[in-house]
Amino acid sequence: MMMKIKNNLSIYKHLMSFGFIVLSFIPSGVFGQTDRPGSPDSTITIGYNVKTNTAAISVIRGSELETHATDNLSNALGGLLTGISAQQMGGVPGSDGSNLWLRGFRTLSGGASQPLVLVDNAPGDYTMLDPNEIETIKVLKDAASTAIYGQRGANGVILVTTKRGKAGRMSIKLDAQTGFQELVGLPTFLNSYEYGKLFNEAKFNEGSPIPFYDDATLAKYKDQTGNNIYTNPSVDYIGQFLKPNAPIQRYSLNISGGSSFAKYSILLGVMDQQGFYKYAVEDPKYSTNASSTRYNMRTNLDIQINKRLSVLFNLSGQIARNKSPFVGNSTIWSTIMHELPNSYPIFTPTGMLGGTSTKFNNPVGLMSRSGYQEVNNRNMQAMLEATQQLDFITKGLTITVSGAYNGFNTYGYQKQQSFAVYSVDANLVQTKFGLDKPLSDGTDLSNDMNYTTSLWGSINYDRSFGDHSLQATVMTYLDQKFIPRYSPYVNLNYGATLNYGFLKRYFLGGSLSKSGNDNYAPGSRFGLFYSFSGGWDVHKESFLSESNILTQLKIRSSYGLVGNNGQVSTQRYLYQTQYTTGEGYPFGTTYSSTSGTVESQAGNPYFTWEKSKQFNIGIDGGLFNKVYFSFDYYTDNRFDMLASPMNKLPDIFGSTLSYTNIGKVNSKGIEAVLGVNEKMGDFRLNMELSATFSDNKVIENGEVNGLSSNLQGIGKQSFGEWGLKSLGFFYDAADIANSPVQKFGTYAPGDVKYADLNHDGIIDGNDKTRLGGTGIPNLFTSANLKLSFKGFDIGVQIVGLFNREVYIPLEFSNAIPNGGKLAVGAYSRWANYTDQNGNVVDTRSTALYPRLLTTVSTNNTQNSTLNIKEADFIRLKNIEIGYTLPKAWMKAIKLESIRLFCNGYNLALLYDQAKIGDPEYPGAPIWSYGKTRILSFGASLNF
Amino acid sequence: MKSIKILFLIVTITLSSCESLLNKQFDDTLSDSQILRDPSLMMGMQTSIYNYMPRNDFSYNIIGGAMLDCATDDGMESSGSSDIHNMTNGAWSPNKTIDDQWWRLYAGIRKCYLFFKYIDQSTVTNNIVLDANGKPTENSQLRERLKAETVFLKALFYSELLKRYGNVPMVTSILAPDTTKLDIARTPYATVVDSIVRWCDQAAAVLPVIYSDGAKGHATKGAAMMLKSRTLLYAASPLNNPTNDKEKWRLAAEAAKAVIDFSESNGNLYVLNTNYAAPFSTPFDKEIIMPDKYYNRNDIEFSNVPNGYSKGQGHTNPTQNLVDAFEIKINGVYVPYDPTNLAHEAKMYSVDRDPRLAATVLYNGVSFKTRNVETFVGGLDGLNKTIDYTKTGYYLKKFVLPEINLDLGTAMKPRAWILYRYAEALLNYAEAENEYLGTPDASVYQRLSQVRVRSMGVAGNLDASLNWTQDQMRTRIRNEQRVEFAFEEHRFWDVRRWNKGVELFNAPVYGISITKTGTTLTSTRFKVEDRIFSSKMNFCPLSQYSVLKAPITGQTDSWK
Repeated sequence: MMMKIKNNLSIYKHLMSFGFIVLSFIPSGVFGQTDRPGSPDSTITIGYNVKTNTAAISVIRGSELETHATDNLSNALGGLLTGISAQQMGGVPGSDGSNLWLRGFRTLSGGASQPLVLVDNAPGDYTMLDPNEIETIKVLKDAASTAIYGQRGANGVILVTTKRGKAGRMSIKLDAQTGFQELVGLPTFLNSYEYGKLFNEAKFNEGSPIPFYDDATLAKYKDQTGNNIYTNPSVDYIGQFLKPNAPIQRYSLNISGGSSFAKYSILLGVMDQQGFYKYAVEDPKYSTNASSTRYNMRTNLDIQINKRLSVLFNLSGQIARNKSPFVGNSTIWSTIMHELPNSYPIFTPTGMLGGTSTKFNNPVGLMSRSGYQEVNNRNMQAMLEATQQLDFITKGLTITVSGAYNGFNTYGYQKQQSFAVYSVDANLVQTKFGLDKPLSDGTDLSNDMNYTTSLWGSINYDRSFGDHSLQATVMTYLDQKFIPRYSPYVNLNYGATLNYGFLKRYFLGGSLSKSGNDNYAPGSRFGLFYSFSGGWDVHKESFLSESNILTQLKIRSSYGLVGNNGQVSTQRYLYQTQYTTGEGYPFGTTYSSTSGTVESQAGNPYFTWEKSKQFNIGIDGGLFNKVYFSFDYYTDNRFDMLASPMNKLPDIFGSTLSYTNIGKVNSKGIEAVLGVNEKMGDFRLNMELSATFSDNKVIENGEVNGLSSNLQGIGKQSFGEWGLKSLGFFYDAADIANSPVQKFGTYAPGDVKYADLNHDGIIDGNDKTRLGGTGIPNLFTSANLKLSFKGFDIGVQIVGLFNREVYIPLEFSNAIPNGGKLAVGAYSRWANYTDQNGNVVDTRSTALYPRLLTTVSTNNTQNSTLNIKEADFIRLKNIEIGYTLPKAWMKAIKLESIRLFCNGYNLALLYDQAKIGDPEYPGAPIWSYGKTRILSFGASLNF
Repeated sequence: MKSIKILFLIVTITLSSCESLLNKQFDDTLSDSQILRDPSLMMGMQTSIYNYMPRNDFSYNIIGGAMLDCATDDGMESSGSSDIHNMTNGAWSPNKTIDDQWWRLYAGIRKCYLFFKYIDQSTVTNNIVLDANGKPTENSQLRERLKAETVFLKALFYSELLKRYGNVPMVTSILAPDTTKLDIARTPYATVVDSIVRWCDQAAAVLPVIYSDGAKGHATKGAAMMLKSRTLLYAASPLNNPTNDKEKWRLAAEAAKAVIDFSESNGNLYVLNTNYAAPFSTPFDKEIIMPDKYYNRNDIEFSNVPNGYSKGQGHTNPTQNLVDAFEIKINGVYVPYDPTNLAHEAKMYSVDRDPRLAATVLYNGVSFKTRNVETFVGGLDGLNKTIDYTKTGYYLKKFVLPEINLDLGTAMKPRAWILYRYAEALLNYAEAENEYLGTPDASVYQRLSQVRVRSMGVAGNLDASLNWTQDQMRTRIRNEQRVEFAFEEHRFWDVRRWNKGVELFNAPVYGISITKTGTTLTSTRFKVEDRIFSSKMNFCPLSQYSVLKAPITGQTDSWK
């Protein structure tokens, strides 16, 4: 495997001398073309040294990840790898990664939907690696490539390979970039004056005509001068407590080189991401701001022991420290998003913290005087792999044995502090509430560890006989995850693969694996998985080989059975009846309980893994040696999927089961790539468009038979929220009288009107239907443009997510659950009244939100199409502009190359359907931490 | 290629031995083997089944804060939002089930079979244990005793199913979660009755007569006999015995008589407490045959103390219909109360009423806690004072302990739901024997009087010289059952098994409106609400979901 990649790299060798950036110009292996199916000699090596010419695989090089100034690599994959769709959930330093789906969401609620991730063939996490550590990321999509992963292959596999040294002189590369993050997608809240006026309207809607805030009070809210800032404050929480930007920086040093005997690649990386809290303590002894600091280190060694025996040794680690104020990020964000602008002044006239007898949530106090917490994570990986050539037995035979360890420790620590707040009355008299207490002695927040060991061996045979080529592998794989207190989690696979080629034109592939997991009943732990595949390099046929138009053409197809043993629930051994102590009963005259023993889980002897029959057909081609394209169509028919059986199991069963294997979902999809490479003198262009479309349909999900059609999940997409269909707002009393009765509490004109989907004349929970609302797009598209001219280069990435819905938090509109804060969305509320001055306010025809109320309306806060909205968007996700200094200058300063660059991540929305917050995940600032845009600049030096 | 084969063989053989790696290295869950090893875990399996008895933790105000009897002509729930109203306003249906015990009872039955599966392999002993006097203790042959208790509970669960749903599917093993095998036909009512009777006999043969203080509350021999009596009484009743097969009444009378004989031959094991109210607050009183979970509680008081008292919620409001059912003593003789008789009306709340009235109902002017109850319009506990005050002019007295201080919140007394008490054995006998004989004999008068005299004194005694016809006797017995067991979840089912629901429950309930002018009180009966009952409501509907899941088992017959 390593040989292969080294060969590939040699192709770029001359390009590399002009600076590493050129590497990032290689979109999905197009220039190299050896890793792309459909290209000449396109044999791809996947796990365990298995080779294939017929599978559906996407590949990128690590260098492409370097252009994204994000700390979490999962944020860079969507848009770079065809077949992957991604959704980033928030911006918490140290945990701002994306949810990824490979070929879309293909499971039901009970089964895990995430792909298997392996780093250098061992279980691991790539998201916290430095981009400079990564050689390639391969995404294995079809059964031809995943069947050997058996029970864990059905959701696809992400194979990460780390960078290894190359023979030659020592190369030193230093990357440094620094920049800042900005918050995006925050609501715009009303000030106290605007809020007070609308609050009066809400009171009016509730039947109290006398304004709650009189004109004099409102005038003081408007005039924030003199004592008004204390007696009638108007606090801009976002502006006052969140900095406009926060620093982020990343440095890495990579030293590599070696001889024919030994090669090395050493990396040291530092990443630091700071939070936005304005009033956080920045004391050198401790900081209360949100932050994440990570150190990456890696040593990859290759040693050629003798002519036949080579050894690989990797040692790597990631040390991370994540900090936040004691109360946690979500409390601070929640306070900023919910506290009313007129609740209390932040500082009293004497500079004390403002508050009231019931409000101790002054954000200055939360940020600087609540104490702090920090979580230290330690990941360490070690791998030793040996490959022995067995030419003495027969030519082309090798045996490889590999063992790896991946350990994780976490230790969290916290120190608490408390602060007093002072209320200020109309005469500026202050009253103290609560106590100022210094930092307490610390306590443990978390303290845990686990580790995984893995071991695999493979015997590979790779040989050509005239027109025939044959690659065959038999392998075995074992991994065990150890968590204290629990029996280890074990996977064991045996596999065999065959890849046969004739005239380098016709290919046949096959794989077979026997794969087992400890989660199933003895005797039922292993399953057999297989795939068959074929490929035809049409371009090699005589009738095409001379064509100047069609310069490449390959057709490939595969079919196979793969499994998915991942569960959403952490409950293990569902085959086994399990008991727990509980349900005691008081006997005797003491009236205290005698302990009981109850069945906590009825055993399901048939419990097994989810199975997936996957078909793939693809075509790869090129035109004029400039244009390339790739197209894949797949189907994935799953059965034995995990779903709750309780709606199928007659009640006389008398117990509960969390899952049985009753689900069936059929998925299908298309992936298409179209690219152009152009080169005119010093000008180089690569543009690539790609689209990943996926869709699925539930065939069986365990729901009860005979539901009204709106409540049926069968026949619909397997994911998404359930909710009501909003018909707008009740226009007047007559509208209410003429509409079906709604069973969600009281309602009046201006409240949300729902559709009677089951036509029973009553609006209740039975009128719900599938609304979407999970953020997963059916269509994920990307455009990557790369241009270079002389020393200048520019890369632009645009992603588009289509056919998706998201949950829009009520905070963006007006029906806030705590009955409080209003955002500008409130101006789009339904209103119909005459104000004190005799002006008619009538927004009935244009209203986007229901009427204002000071208390929560359960009628208006039901899940519905009002708050689960279609949210397609196109984002300018990333730009990088670089300049490589002229080679001539380098000699003077004894450097190989210098490149200066700047880049931006999450730059702008080019299209936004919902227009509320950030469409990727609008709830981020409300529920966790706002999403960020990152702008950064830096330099890359090669010595 | 030969070498490859050899290598393949070597690798396969080496790694095949690894398959044992998939075996659990240790068991971090509680498995059956541990239960078999540990007698306390095994006994715990039996203990937990008691939680599936009909009422348990949720006894008394169980249905949206209401007592079940508020769905009879005896009671009215004051809170308008309670689910109980849907039982009497016609909304009760497969889409709106109330007090749905279907799944829970089968869950209890499953637990019985799980216990049976393991008990004989367990380490729970079956040794003979003798006390100081050389008599076997309750822990003698413990394994057999626990099995007998479980048989009793299984029979109890089936009797509840039968009462609620009529024909029901019989489960006779631990069911596997196989959807295709769980949708089974219902077993006819009579067959289920036969099984319950057999199980009761089986359990009664083994169960102890009495337990020591530390073990009281376990099923006794008397409980099993009483379950048999009630089961046979229901089976003989008009709803389930439309041809009036006298043999069924004979069996019912015999079973009730067996309880009486058993008590009397064991030195009056069960005795009617001379204080009618005492058994409800006296744990393991000698009148109680089977309690359903004693624990320290004050929820009964929170729910039912009149609203005018601190923290009282006044949920249960007895009706005028019930108040009128208590007899009145005229010239030293108790006669049925007649609302049209002005002489009776003048003494509606007098000491001449059956003393059980005052023990059951709080009416205007009666002393309760530190003051008199004021249900007159505008009074402290006044009729309809706010939406949660009494709807009938009455509050509940029965079960409610005035000494519990609700302001403390922590003041509690141990109470249980009373599943069976001795008065039921006596009245079951009187009812069944009257129906069997045609003309009541002295024994019928005797057992009926036994219950009356305890509360009414000798004036309540009735003897054979009255020469009542069967119908006259039936009327008196049914009324006796009504007043004796008011709010004990008897009438809801009794009226159904008598097939009298359309007559009694499809009719308005009444309250009393008292206006106070100076010191003058004027009482007027008024209609509180109309009630809806149709004969399908003799049994409970299954939820539509349950029916969709099991179409062969299907809906309760009357709801089809």
